[in-house]
Amino acid sequence: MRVSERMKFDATRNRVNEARFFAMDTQDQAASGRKLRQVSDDPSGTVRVFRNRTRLENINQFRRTNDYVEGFLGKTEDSLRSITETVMRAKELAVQQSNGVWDAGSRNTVSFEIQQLAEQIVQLGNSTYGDRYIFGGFQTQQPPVAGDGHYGGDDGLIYVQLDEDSFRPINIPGRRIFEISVKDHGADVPLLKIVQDFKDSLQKNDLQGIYQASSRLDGALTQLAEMTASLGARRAGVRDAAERLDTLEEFSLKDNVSLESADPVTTALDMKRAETALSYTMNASAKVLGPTLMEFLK
Amino acid sequence: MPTGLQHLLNVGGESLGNSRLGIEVTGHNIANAQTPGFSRQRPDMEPNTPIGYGNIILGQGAKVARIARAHNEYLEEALRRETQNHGKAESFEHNMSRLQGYFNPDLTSTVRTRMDSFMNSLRDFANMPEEPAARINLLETANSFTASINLAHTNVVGLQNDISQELGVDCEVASQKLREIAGLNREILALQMGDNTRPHDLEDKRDLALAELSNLMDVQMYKDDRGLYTVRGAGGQLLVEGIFNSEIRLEYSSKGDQPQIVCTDFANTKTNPITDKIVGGKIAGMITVRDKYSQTVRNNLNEIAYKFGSKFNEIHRMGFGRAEFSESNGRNFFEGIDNPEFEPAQQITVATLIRQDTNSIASAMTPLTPGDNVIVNELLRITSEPMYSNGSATTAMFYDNFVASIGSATMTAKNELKASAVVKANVQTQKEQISGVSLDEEAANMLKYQHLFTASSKIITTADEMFKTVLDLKR
Repeated sequence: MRVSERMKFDATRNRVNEARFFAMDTQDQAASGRKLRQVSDDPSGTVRVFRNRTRLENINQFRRTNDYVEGFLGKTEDSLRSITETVMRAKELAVQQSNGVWDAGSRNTVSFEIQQLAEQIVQLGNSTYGDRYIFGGFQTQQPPVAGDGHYGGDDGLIYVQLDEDSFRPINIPGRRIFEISVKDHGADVPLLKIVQDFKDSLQKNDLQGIYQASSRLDGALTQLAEMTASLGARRAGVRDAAERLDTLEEFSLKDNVSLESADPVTTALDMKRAETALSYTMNASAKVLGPTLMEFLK
Repeated sequence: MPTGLQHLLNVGGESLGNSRLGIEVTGHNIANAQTPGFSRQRPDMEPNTPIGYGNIILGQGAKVARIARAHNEYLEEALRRETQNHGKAESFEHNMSRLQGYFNPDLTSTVRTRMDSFMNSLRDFANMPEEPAARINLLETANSFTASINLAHTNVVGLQNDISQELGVDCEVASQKLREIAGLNREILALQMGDNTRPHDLEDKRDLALAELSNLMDVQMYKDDRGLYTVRGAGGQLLVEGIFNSEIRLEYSSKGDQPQIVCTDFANTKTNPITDKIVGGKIAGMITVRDKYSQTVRNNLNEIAYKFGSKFNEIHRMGFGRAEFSESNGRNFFEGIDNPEFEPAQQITVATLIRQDTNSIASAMTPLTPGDNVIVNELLRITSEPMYSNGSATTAMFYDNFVASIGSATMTAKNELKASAVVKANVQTQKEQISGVSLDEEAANMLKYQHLFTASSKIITTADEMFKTVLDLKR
């Protein structure tokens, strides 16, 4: 086989170039610590990385939402519990005062406590969480319980997204808390009115009124229990979603590390290989390119 | 007739000339050892026709019959073919790498990441639709989102324009090569006189010009009976015939379409469009990236801007805003996407009213309900709506799919480039084995002709001495 000058030089150039490219590539990989540097390095892997990143970004957001919802539900639960306790106290007093042993004077004294309970109900009904009235449905910017006890909010359920595919309600509209349905009355009666009627009956020493208040407060307690139960369900749903986020996050992180990161041991070995290859190529080229027959013919 | 000493002098003299010619050819080879396209030459010596003297036949020395060129036409053709493949693979890989660079996994400002941020600020907004800060944040991320679509579109269009400009230059180079081949055809026609006197160096130059043209586009060459090249290309277009050549140009259209490549006739009076007919060489690689891959990306970005924006607007129009906008609806969130034909990816922005007053962002399904986030939740559901590829892909999936397909094409391109480089290098080596100059060989030749020269001069001196002896006979 004839070996021409250009062949010699071209082959050397190609070999050195190849060794250099390999060295540069491994160096780049070692310096960046990444094996996924271009889409073409792993097209389907890139897509998975994209999706995992979106997932992780969203998980951060869902966590923030979750923190907010936890606070919102916590506040709702506190308020609802206090309302329930207030109504229970009223019911307790109603049962106590419906007993014949109490006289008008003591009933009048109890009526002051009831007045305070009534004020508490209005206060608790108008609880806020971060400038939002929690019991107003969508009407979050004005107090839902008016001075006369009528519910001024609406029935709006506020849904928020807690993970990729579920939207859950976080609020309890106050209608079923502050408007109590009673058997002997066509329309619902405001909770506040029941308490205030109770107070009036105490002041008037009206035993019949006290009986009626007692039974109506029962109705109120039933509705409050229903609301507490549905609040519990909301909290459980939120916790459930939060736990799933942890599992998903771990999976997505692991997947991305395995797709994106270069293995340090492999990279180090590759570097060493590249270094050796390059210096061998250089040495060999220096020896082969030099001598021609010209130098030996004198 | 007896042979004379005169004859001996002639043989020696001719041999002296032959060996000098041998050194000259060797010198020419050494001088061109690194010249691209050069084929090594060698003097073909043959004995002169012998002459009969009585009952013997006597040789008449040697002559240089021709200077031959070490050359193989079939390898030359194979090399042209591989040069075409390699040229195409190289420009395709180069431009695909640029295109995929805009969707690099390292980037944090892509349409994909900006859409995630936009959606997450929408989720924040759903948590607190009453909160002015959430609205302002939503506006900011929406602005970044539209800006990222605009930028991606600008990048792709920029790449297409860069390619067109380079195409313009390459068309000029191709025309230059066509002129060169036609010009060399003319010179060769003028110089050659029969088979033994071919102008090898001009033929080498012509082959080189043809090889360089092959790097740009697919061409076929036919040799006519005078040894002149006829070149066809781009779907059989006649590019060179004898001393005539056509021109290749890039023509810009007024309508804003991509500029097209045309080929003129020899008289330069009419043009033929050939853009789609070039299937090999650097130009074909560039056209594929410009008109197929980049254009697909551009169309897809337009589709995303149009479909996502329109769907978003459709839902947004149903909703009511905050404060002074809490009793009115029917507002668009995005602008610039009215017509899918007018590059919506370039035009899309957040609507002016939204930018002026974030209270006009709709969140509520019913008027006068500040805590209502029904519309926001509906907007969030757009991300899971399969609006693309005949209802089989969501926005993110659609985006991912086209990025992955660019990545796969680039990966294939890189592999093809490696393969075509190896094949081309192989053919080139084969060609070099035949046509290339080896300095070792030339060194030996030089010595060979030098010795021949010395020996030939000895014949002359010997003849001279013999003359002297004869002349000295008479004293």
